[in-house]
Amino acid sequence: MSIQTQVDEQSNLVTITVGGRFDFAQHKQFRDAYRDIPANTRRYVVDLSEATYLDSSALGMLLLLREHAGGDSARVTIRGCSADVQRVLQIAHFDRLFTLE
Amino acid sequence: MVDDEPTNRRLLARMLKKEGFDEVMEASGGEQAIAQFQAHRPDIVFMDIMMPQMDGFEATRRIKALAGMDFVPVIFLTALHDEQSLVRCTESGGDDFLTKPFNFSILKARIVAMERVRDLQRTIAAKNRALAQLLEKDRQEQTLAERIFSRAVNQRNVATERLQIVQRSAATFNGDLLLTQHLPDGGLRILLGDFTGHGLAAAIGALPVSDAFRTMTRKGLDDEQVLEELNRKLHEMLPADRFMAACLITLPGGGGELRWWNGGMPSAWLRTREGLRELSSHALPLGILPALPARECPRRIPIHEGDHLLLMSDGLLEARNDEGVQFQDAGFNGVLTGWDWNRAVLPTLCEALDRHCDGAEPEDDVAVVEVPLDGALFQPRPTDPQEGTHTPRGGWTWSLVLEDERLGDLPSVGSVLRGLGLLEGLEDCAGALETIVNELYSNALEHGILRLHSPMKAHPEGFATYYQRRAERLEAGPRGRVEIRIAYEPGDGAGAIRIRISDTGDGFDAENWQPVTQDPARPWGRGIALVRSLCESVAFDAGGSRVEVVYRCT
Repeated sequence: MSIQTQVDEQSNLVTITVGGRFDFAQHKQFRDAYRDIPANTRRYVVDLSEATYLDSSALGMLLLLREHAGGDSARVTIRGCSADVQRVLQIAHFDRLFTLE
Repeated sequence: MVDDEPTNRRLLARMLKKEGFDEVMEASGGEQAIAQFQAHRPDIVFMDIMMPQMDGFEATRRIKALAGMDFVPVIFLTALHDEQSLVRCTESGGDDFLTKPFNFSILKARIVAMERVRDLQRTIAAKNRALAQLLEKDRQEQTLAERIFSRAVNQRNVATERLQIVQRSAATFNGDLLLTQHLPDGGLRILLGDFTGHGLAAAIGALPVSDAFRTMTRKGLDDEQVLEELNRKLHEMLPADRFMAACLITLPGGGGELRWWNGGMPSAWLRTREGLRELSSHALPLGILPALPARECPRRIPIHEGDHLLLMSDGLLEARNDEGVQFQDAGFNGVLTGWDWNRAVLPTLCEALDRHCDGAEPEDDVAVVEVPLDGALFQPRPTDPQEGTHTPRGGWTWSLVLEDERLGDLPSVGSVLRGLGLLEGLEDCAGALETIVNELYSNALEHGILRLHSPMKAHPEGFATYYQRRAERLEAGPRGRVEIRIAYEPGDGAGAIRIRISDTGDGFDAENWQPVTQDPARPWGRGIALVRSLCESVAFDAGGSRVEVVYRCT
């Protein structure tokens, strides 16, 4: 499925929207979504409201994004999770590392 | 050859030998004759009447008793001509008599006649034996048919304590079929069927009908779908002259309505406060046409608490009294007209039937069902919290093996199992199941078969390289196989899903696997952690190339 990036210059916010299955097959696209943005400069929102499934490699990708955004000093927000996606995030205790909306 | 006169014996023996009867045994009196008969079982006995000690009449009676079912002709040899003696010959069991002195041509003619009778008797006896065997076989089939009916059909019915049922089996079992099953909304569906044909043939048809009826009703499929399926099954299975008349009644859980469909059964009767309604046959029986005509659809009637429904098979209406008059032309109508609203009619009906038949065995099975249409008929809705935690009662096992080039394409197990109908009642577990299988499969494929190392994924470049190598190695045509086996095991309350995945790779170091909690932000090694959190148990063996996990459905 598709990954779309939207940059809001005014609020300095990057929104990455992931649709369909969020798994290893998306890793390149997902990384491309933020790799050209200089590290530690922006805030990020990952919108998963269109994602149907999330696997462990997607968790890894989210953590790489978190690192890119600045690690502990910059909270990445994950938004719009379905029940199945929410459960995977909760089991991984991602609520400690991300802001879950 | 029984005679106390040796001259007579010699004379007759000589005549018989001349005719080709080489083996002639001689006895000089009744007792000796019986002993000889027991020892040698001759084909024909010539018996003198007047002998000292036991006379010919008595000896004949005993010989006939010893012969039993076998026909051994006894021909009396007599000098007596009086009527009385000849009658006694026949009474004691004699088949013919010859008057002394013997005439050779008459003797010969009598022997030929007796042989003819004997042959005829033997043919009949052989046929009787075959017939007895067939009757026994038929009796066994009847027993089997009744057993199938009672175990597979009757015992699985629901709400039977709320229905009033009278089933009287005739001497020949004809297979009236009564099925009841709850709908998911708590409602009740009833089918009363009557197969053409008797015994085993009818019982065999009843099995798939019963299964399809129950499964489809439990799933909440509508009347048309159930009827379509039963019709299709019976049409496929039964020869053209066999079919099933049926009356299908559905009482939805919400109450207030009755849906009915009658294909070839006697009218059902509904007693409402307003009066009596006849639900007469408006459709063909099931199994005749390949598809049901659209106009023969089920009909609806509003119902109220206190209404009663009466269903019956034709055995009831056609029960004859000793004058040959059928019940439907005698007491039946009187019972219907005397039926008061909110009252059971079945006791009156049975009394009237008993009076009509007056103790005579019915020729056909009689099945009558009365349904009081009140709320107690319905099952509590499955919103009951106790009920809600229950998962399906039937287990299943599904497995898949992927080899070589196929290894890269694991289908979504959720979609596959759903397509097979295996996730019915387990939909809440589907997400977790998908996660577990995908993570374990990735583990088997990436570490076992493709020999990739997770710690590569620690950095963005490594992460990318990891998946790039994964793609390259799959592209290059990997060699190996991964086997997935998923089994649902029902249990009291919540069932369990057991998943086993094995691969032909070298395994990985499951012993020294580092829990991810030591570094919560580590971007790799999360798959197994996820599986461990979801599952009741996780066990690796064979050096990490085989894993079995148990997920508890809740």
